[in-house]
Amino acid sequence: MEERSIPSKYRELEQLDTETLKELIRTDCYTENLDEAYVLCALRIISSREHPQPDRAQEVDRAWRRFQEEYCTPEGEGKSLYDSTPQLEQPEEIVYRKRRPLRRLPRRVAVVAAVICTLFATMLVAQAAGLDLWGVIVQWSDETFHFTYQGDEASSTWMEGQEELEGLELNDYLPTWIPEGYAVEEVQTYELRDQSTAIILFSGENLPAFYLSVDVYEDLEKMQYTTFEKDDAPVQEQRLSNGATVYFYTNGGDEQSVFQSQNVVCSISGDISEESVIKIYESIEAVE
Amino acid sequence: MEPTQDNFLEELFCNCYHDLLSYAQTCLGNPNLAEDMVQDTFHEATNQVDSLLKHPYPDRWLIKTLKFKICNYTRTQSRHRKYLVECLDLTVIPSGESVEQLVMEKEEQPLFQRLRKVLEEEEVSFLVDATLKNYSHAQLAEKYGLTVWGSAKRLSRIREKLLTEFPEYRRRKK
Repeated sequence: MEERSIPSKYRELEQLDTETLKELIRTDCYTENLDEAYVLCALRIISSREHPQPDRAQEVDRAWRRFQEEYCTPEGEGKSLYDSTPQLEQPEEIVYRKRRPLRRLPRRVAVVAAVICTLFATMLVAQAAGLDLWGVIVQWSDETFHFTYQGDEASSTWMEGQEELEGLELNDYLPTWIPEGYAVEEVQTYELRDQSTAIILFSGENLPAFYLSVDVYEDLEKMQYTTFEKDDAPVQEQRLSNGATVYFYTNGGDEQSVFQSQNVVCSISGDISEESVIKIYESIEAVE
Repeated sequence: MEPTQDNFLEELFCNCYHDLLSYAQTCLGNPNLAEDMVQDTFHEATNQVDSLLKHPYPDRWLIKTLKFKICNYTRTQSRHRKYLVECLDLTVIPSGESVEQLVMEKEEQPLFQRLRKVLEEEEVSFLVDATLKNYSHAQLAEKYGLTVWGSAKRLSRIREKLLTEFPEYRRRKK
């Protein structure tokens, strides 16, 4: 098997240590923040560090034989091992309804968030005059959706030396309103070098579950590497009462929405009405 | 399958197997399950070889399919585990070596007796291996003398029986 080179736009991945790359991959698996090309490059870097070429070739040969003998048989034609099992329902008695506290953001991210909030307040007038001080534009194609930072300088430069503003927590980016009958069922948090993520599963008795994902990025350049997979259906835009925009789209037939404010990207997926989604986003205190 | 399709799949397997295995191991932390899921992903590719031949990035298609399988497995496995723990009247989700011991202690309990009305002893053991020990289908097939497809069918049938006997623990279909 030939060694494949890493495209120049993903070269920065080579600077990361193996454990950080793995953490990035694990987080992406459950949040779908990265595109597949990015993930494949990360995997190739890990692979080149961990597995010598001859070992890999033997392993692949063994796996190919196994594939032909055990999996690719007439018995399995048209079937999937991991898609065909029936979905069980959760027993009512063991639904977890306790709201678990989220860990504090790393000091660096908290400072960034605090500084951005302060700057945001002073920039409203300038934005109304048409200046794009944030320099963030939204772009989408038939397959993906993402935010792009267009500023001239690294956004992190205007955040330096502001450590006295530390104090915000990830909780500031969580909604204060959720639809009636719902409660938090599960919270997962991930902390990467440049990003903190919380994924919250909301559920209620006889109500369809939905997920809220909150990503707080260290700076705006990092945020633009986040890509949301989507169908080729057009993206719908809705204005919030605070003037911000929510983007509704579908992915694999599932309803999704995404909302960005400064260095924070929130997304909601699941069987939930647009009206409720808008109310949830409007109730996030940090963006009011 | 036509020779063109065969060659395409073999080349795809040789080029992508290791990356996919590395991805699955990183996300699942279970080498047996990782291999099973990667093999199933390539099997999915076999099922859809016509459209995959025209796909501009088959390697990305594979990683996306694998990601879906892992997410789906993690979500449903968690639900099955909670369900089985409730049906066995266990107070905690057991792990590793403690599983058999904890299950045996429940044999005289009314809920376990109800379970045994619909499941044979071997079926209980199979269910525990699949649900609480996270065995892959390849491991289950080896232990119980089945093919991987036979293992998937048996697990599906056992879970259907469980749902029939314990409908009160149903909440919703996701």
